[in-house]
Amino acid sequence: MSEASGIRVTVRLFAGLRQMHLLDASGDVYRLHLANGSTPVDLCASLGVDPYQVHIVILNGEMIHEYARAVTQLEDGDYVDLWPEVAGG
Amino acid sequence: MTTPFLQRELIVGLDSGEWRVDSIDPDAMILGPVDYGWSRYRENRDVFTFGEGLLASSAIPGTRRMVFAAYSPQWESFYISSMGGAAYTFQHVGVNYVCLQGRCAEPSVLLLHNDGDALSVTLEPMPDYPEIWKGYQPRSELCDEENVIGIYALQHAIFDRFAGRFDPKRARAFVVGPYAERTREGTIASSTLKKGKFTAVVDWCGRGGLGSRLLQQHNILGCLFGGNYHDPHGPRASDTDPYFVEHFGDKGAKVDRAATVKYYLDPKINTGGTLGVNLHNIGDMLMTFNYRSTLCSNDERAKQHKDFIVNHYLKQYNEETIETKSFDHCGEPCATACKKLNGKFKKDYEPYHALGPQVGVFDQRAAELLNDHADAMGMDAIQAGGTLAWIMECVADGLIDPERFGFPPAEKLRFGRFTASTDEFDLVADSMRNARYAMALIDAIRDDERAALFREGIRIAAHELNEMYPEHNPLCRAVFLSNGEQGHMVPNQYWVPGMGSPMPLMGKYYVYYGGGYITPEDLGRKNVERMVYELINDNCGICRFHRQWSEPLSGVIINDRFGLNVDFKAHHFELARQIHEHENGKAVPWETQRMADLFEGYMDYCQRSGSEDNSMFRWQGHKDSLVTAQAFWQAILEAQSKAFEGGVDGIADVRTPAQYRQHVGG
Repeated sequence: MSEASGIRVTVRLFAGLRQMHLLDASGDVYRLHLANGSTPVDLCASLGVDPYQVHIVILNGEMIHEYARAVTQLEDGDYVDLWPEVAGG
Repeated sequence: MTTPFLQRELIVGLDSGEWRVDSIDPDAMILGPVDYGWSRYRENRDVFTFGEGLLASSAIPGTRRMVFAAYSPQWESFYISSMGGAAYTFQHVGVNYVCLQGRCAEPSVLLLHNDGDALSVTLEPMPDYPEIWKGYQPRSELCDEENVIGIYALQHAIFDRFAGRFDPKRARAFVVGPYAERTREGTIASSTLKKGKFTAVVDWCGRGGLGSRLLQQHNILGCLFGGNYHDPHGPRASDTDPYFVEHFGDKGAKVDRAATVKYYLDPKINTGGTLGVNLHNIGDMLMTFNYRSTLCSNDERAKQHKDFIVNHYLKQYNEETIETKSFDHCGEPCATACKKLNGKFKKDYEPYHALGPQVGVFDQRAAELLNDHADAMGMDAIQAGGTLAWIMECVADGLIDPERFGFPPAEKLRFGRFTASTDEFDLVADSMRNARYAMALIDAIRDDERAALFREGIRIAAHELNEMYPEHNPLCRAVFLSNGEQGHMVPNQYWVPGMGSPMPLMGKYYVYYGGGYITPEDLGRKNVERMVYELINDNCGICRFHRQWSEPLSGVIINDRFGLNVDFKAHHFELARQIHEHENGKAVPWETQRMADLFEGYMDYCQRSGSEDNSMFRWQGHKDSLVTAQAFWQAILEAQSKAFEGGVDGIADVRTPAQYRQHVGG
């Protein structure tokens, strides 16, 4: 994939996801290059994060419903926050 | 097939012992125990209600919670709290709801027994309860232990004295403990039985101090209930499976299992239950040593999580409980088996966090000892953990003189400051040291008059200590929510602003508590949404662990079963709105610097490196962080009021997959 044909998004992992998926020394923020039309589910796959482990997806400050994560297309310059599950009760 | 919509209430006059059973007007719009409790509370604040949901006689797992509703002396408001599995037995009493009025002349036990033909209701005085709480020798056929105390002791004594005519397979008791007598925070506890023998599983009506209300207002120590009534219309799995197939594509048992996998065992992270999943996922959001970890860096918390939790506390739990599959259910048949055990100790996240890392306990042996003692005393573990952790910090930092209150000296604990180093903190020995210190505090607060001010709860105690020690300001270290003149609540153990929200019932899950930064305007609206859907669960007597299917589907099943046509979202929005309207005006802004620190720390955590999201800048970097935090709190409150005023149309729908497809036209 050439850079011109893809999109660049910034991803942040929080809480347990951060510890489970420390990909580089900076640890916190990943700037990813994805194919056009990629979704939050594709983004998780590219990071090696099981989408099942992601409870909350926040795209540019807006929460993405679980049902919409496989169909919402990311755009160049997007910011995505991923949070893990909590088991309230 | 439609079932007649007939509900019955049992009204017990505790002054006279007189009782009667009335039918509930089908047009009264009482769909469950919360509707019932709220309606009776509005007529007379001094009643105490409990009951079951409309699916309690069904075969659907998770539908047999017993729901209590009454005035909370701790929160100074109407309160709701529910107990797992107890309605699996209560359904055999043959009434949907019980309303207690007045006060017994002596501390007494309520006996509810239905022999299959008729209900009998008896009040039995139990004047020797203080001695029973101190120690009781259970019969060997009921229990393997030789001596039990507190709530365990009282349950055994009640069974020994009064259970003779009950079918042991259909009898259960709920009781209160010593903290119900001495404080406003006492719980109601109920052990499950298998084949007539007590198990290690104890279910709780834990938050809000309803145990204190039951004893102090009504002079009721507990209730033994059961019998042989059977609902002739109780739906079987074959009756309800079609709903699950239509909406989720599979039979009820499979849908339920998939929806509750994290509460059973999640193979993807090799742990399960609330304790396992949350300790695994909490990562660098760990709250320890009375929340002081939240004042540290992400990396310090991450190191503590790795070395103290993952490599020890969670490891022990996974080896002892998960790998051995020591699981059980709450008393009703339920494959989720969310009760995680190690021998006689049951483990849930919030008790084993509040009376664990928050009080400097990172070892399962120490946590078991401490939690078991708090349970026996009938304490709310979250409330206890928050209060004891604060006292321990005050003692360790020399803010108060422990001897003045009958507490052990500071040298007896290891709580001086946050540490993530196992060289500084011996995970086994220091955890046990802190656990024993916390147990000594529990006993001192219960018995020692010098510690009496702590019986009033963390809010009053913190303000009084500030007057005693104005130069040390112990109030600033306390974490609690305030309501009314003296009402208070230690927040649930999630480091998110939602758990500090000014909702009418706090200490439960009537809030949005997921992660991520959302504006106070969105948070307020989401809180109201969550209250509506959590009320559906509570009003249907359904365990919130099953909420993935229960929130969108329970109304569909109930409407069909009883031939109703109720918009469940609208009905429960109106219930939430009424509670908000009735209790509105009692909320008090966050009072302490530690509360402000928690808020500020969370904002910094969400903001952290690399983000260009500036939507939270207005809540950051101000000179007075408490004023800023209170402004955020006020903004949540206003958004909640706006959401209630905006009507049900502003509440998002929670849908099954089938409903979602229909909604989007698929």
